[in-house]
Amino acid sequence: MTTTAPASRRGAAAARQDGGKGLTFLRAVHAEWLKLTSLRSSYIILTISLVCMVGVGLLSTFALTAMVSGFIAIDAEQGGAGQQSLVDEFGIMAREVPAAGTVIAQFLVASLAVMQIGSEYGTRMITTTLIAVPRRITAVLAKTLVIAGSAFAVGVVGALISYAVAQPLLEPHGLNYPLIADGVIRGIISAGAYLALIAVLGLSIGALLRNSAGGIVTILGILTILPILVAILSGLNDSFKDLGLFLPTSAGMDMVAIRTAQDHLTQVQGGLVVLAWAAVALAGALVTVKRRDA
Amino acid sequence: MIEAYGLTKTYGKRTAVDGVTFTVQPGQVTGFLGPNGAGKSTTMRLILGLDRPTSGRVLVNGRPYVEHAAPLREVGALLDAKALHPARSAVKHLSVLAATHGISRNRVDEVMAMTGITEIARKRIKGFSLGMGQRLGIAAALLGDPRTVIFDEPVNGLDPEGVQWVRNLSRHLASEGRAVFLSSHLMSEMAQTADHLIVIGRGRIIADAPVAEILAQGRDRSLVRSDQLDELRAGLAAGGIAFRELEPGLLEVSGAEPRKIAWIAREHDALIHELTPVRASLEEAYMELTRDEVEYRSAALAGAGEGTR
Ligand SMILES: Nc1ncnc2c1ncn2[C@@H]1O[C@H](COP(=O)(O)OP(=O)(O)O)[C@@H](O)[C@H]1O
Ligand SMILES: [Mg+2]
Repeated sequence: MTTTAPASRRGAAAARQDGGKGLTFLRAVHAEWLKLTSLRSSYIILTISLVCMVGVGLLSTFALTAMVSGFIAIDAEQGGAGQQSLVDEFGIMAREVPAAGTVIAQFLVASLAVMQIGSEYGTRMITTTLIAVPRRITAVLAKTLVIAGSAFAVGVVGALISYAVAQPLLEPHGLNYPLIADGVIRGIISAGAYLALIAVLGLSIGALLRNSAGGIVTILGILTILPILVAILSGLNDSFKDLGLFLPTSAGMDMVAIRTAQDHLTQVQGGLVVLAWAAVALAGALVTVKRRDA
Repeated sequence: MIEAYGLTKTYGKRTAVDGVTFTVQPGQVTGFLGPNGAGKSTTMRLILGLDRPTSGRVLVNGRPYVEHAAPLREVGALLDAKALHPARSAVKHLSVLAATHGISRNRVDEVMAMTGITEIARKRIKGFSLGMGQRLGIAAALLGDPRTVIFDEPVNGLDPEGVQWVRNLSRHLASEGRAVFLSSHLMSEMAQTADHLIVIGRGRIIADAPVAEILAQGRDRSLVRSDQLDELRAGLAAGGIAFRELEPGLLEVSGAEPRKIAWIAREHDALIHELTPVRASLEEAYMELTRDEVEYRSAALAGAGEGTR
């Protein structure tokens, strides 16, 4: 923030009185962190998100090992030639285990993010918030940073746990791999980044709609119904064919993938598309909150 | 100190605040008085930058609220005691606000002690009575030790002891040199607390003066009963004296001393058999001021109750 001369003079006076304690972005972030951590509901949702990350990771590990066992049985019947390409395929699938949980965790993280601001409008706490932090961009960005950071942590920690619990299950099939294996760390970080960006999208929608229920319905609609609608549209008309790739869910799958399909986006492209969704929504939220009466 | 210049706020077609100009001085309690819907809360929201004025400007301690480096240390505000997350405890709520300005945990304990909520500090706000919520709101307002204090209907929902407490606190804060701006829809309340009154009705300022002066403005009236009402009416009218007939045979005459009325009656051969001076109470002075400005008459008549939203 730029400080004009009178402000810094006042700042000096305040410093003598109480240690120069004005409103700063970091303090606003600290306050938002206290808000998040002082509600049991936040813990519950974040914990369930983590459980989902690990749970889905485990499920996909079981599915993979079952598939591999089936394949080996068939392969043995056929003389045990073993197609190398299939073995490679299993290796890639094994490395996609850590990030697999984002498919479910995204719904929880998105809902929590919506509530993070929607509930403030619902309880009118927003008035109190904006009296304490009247710089609205600061207020919204502080909230964004806290919820995005928490979502990132859930994604990364959840993926790491998934990685760890999957290894002993994969080992009997020779599918275990080190953390430094190709794309594994990138996938884990991408899982966190994807959840963080979805959280930003959710928070922005919550801020735009000023309502938790409406915000959650909207973000879940974008994540689940929109892909179906686009799929129907692309069935009707070829020009909609690639549209689905640019929806957050599809782009997010590509973003966290170890290897993306030929006609899909690359990981980086996927990441950029999700980033664009989050950035546009956040920009809209910032402009709206700044202009609108509280 | 608060300085408002031509402050106007319209919501759609409705003008909530209409070109309001006033100053709230430090070192005294300024009462902001007006019937429900007069625009008190809206004015306060404009002061705090919660709503954007349609036109006009308002400064707090010399600049727009938003532009202060440490807003909570400039202004402490209680606008809406329910504007908080009910699942948080009181101490967490205050800690969140304190964190925005790096205010110490000590200060949080201090304001809780000042407002008498220490014992319920760890309870969820959800279970608070209206009065406790109000105290928590005041605690939050005092966190930053602000130079200007704004309370919107602070005694709403308080028991008599609480009302007394707010009154003493307001006087105390003003005696420390702070600017204290209190709103209310009840004159009786303001009369005992405020040094200065700003009376608002339908978004416009009706009066802006020291309490004593507003009291004096409540014109003295007399009740007069006469057997020759027609003659008396003619005489009063000739003398340019205002009156109205309250009931058959009873006139309320304002702006003339009883002696003058008696003389007029004598000159016009009217026998008067009652001449009762009525001193305006503060409440009546207020009713008089806002007579034409009350938006919802029923709301004003219900004034003794808790009629605000
Ligand atoms: N957000 C709003 N939208 C539309 N009208 C409003 C809004 N806020 C206040 N008003 C209207 O503005 C007028 C003044 O309201 P308010 O400032 O709350 O009065 P008071 O606090 O004096 O009771 C009322 O007629 C009210 O209905
Ligand atoms: Mg009000």
